[in-house]
Parts: sequence; structure tokens; C-alpha cells
Amino acid sequence: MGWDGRSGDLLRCVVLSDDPAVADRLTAALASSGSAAVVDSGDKLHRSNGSRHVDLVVWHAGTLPIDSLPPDLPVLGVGPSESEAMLAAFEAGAQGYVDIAASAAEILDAARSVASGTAVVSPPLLGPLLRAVVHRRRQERSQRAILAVLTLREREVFDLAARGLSRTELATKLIISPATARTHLQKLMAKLDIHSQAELVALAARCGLDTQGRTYG
Amino acid sequence: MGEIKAQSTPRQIGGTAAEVNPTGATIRKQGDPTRFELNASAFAIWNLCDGQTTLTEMAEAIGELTGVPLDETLTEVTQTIEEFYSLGLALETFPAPRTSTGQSPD
Repeated sequence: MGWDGRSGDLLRCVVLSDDPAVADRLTAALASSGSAAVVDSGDKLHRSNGSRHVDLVVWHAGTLPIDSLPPDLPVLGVGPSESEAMLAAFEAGAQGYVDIAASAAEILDAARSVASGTAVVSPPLLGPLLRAVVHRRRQERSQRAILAVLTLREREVFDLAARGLSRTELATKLIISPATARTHLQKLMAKLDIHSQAELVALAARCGLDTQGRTYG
Repeated sequence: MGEIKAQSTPRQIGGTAAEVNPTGATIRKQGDPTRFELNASAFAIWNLCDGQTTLTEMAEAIGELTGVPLDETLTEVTQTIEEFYSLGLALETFPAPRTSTGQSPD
């Protein structure tokens, strides 16, 4: 259950940013009403020192690795009003997003909404964000349709190659000879009109498949 | 107006202007003094009325961001689009048939 502002509780926030000026500005915005407080600020979340309670993470989106976000706390992204940045923030786990140039009142409103469990994006940002989501979903659909031309075995080979297994490794994994693995790879690459392992990994990534970006020999 | 199809691709009528405000937007039609106040979600849907985006795609995108199930977002999108049609803010169109090299939206 999220923060319940109706009870009058102070909204306890952590500001995550590697830019001290931005962190200071967000801290000031959150503290401006007296109904919210920043209990920690910096480039990582410190949760080891005692029982400090946190309701919300305010994340300077795009400046820190995605894995710096805690999975168990609501996150408000703050960043540029560019659709790709917003989309990346939501994909990273943010439940809300406000423009970094937003007023203190807008930031505070968004913080309260996200902390209480409501997804929030300011109206000017919502349209571009939704268009970006639609665009990305179309791309994914299109790529999935492309992969549908593969046989089941070719698809297995594709998935393993995309994860960086060498031809020998994937042959071992699938209990086939390296020569057969090579044949499958050649056929699937011809079907997909790709000519290198890098293109295969890139295609797999566009399809939302698991890749590690390694190359095979 | 008959039943709206989920694969229709509504398009904003020409000559409209949107003034964004903190709660949504005000839409004005050229040569019409009427002002149409849209809340944030209606304005988001309005933004997607580009003649290319289906109702299903709109509902899926909203659902992805909000976590609301598709059947609920599709109902909201359909009702909002119906209102746009009745207010003369959008036209119902359908996607052109794709070429053999294109990809169907579904």
C-alpha cells in the first residue's frame, strides 16, 4: 500500500541524482510546502542505516543506471520532456514523470500522486509519451512478425546466438553438430536478410529478446 | 453513429488548435467560438487521433503506462472517441490496406 496523504503524514522522499544542482532543486521543490521531506539525496539509495522510512524515490531520469532504482518503492522520474527519455523512465520502472523544468508545485503534486499509487504524467507530456509507446509496440509487433518466418529449430538457434553463444556452444546446447548449427544460422540469416552476428543481436534486441551483446566465432 | 470498431483509426478534424493547461487542454475549432475542455486522459487520446493509430493501439499504450487492463482502457478510449465524433472533433477513418512488404498492425 502506498503513502496515504489523507492521514496528513509527511511524504518522505529520496532524491536520486548525480547532479548536485538538480538534487538541490528537487529537494527544495519537495520541501516547499512542508508536507514532504527529503530524507536522503545523492547518486544511490542508502537503505542500510537503520529504519529510515521512505515513501517515494524522485529519480533524475537518465542520469543514473536503471538498477539504481529500488523495485519496492514508487518512483517519480524527472527529466527532459522528450518522448524517448520519458519512455525509458517508464520502462525503467517509474510510475510518473514530470519535466525537469516543472514548477515546484507541479513536482510536488506529481510526487504526491505517484506516492499514493497513481500513475501521473503532465498533460503536455502525455501525448508524446503515448505516441512513443505506440511506435515502440508497432516496432515490436513488426519484428515478431519477421521472426515468425523461422522454423522452430531456427528460432532456437536464433535465440541462442542472440544471447552470445558461439556456433560450437549452441550446437552442444541443441545436441546437433557444428555443421548443422552453421547451416541453421545461414538459413535463418538469409530469411531475415541479416549478414552478421551484430545485426542478429540488434534484431533480437529490437524484438525484445534476451541478448548479451556478445559475438560468436 | 454505429458501433465504433477497435481497428478504426480516428483522425482529428482539420483546423483545430489545442491550448494545453495543467489539467488537460482546451480545443478550439476554426471558425467556431465553442471551446472544448478536455481532461488529461481525453487530451492524451486526442493526441493519438492521427488517422493511423487504432483504438486498440491507443488502449494498449494507455494500459502499458497505467497498468489498467486492456478491456478497461479500450472501453474508456471507445467512449472518448465516441464523444469526439459527436462533438465533431474527430472523424472515423480506417487504415489503408498495407502493401505486401508492410506489416499489419496486428
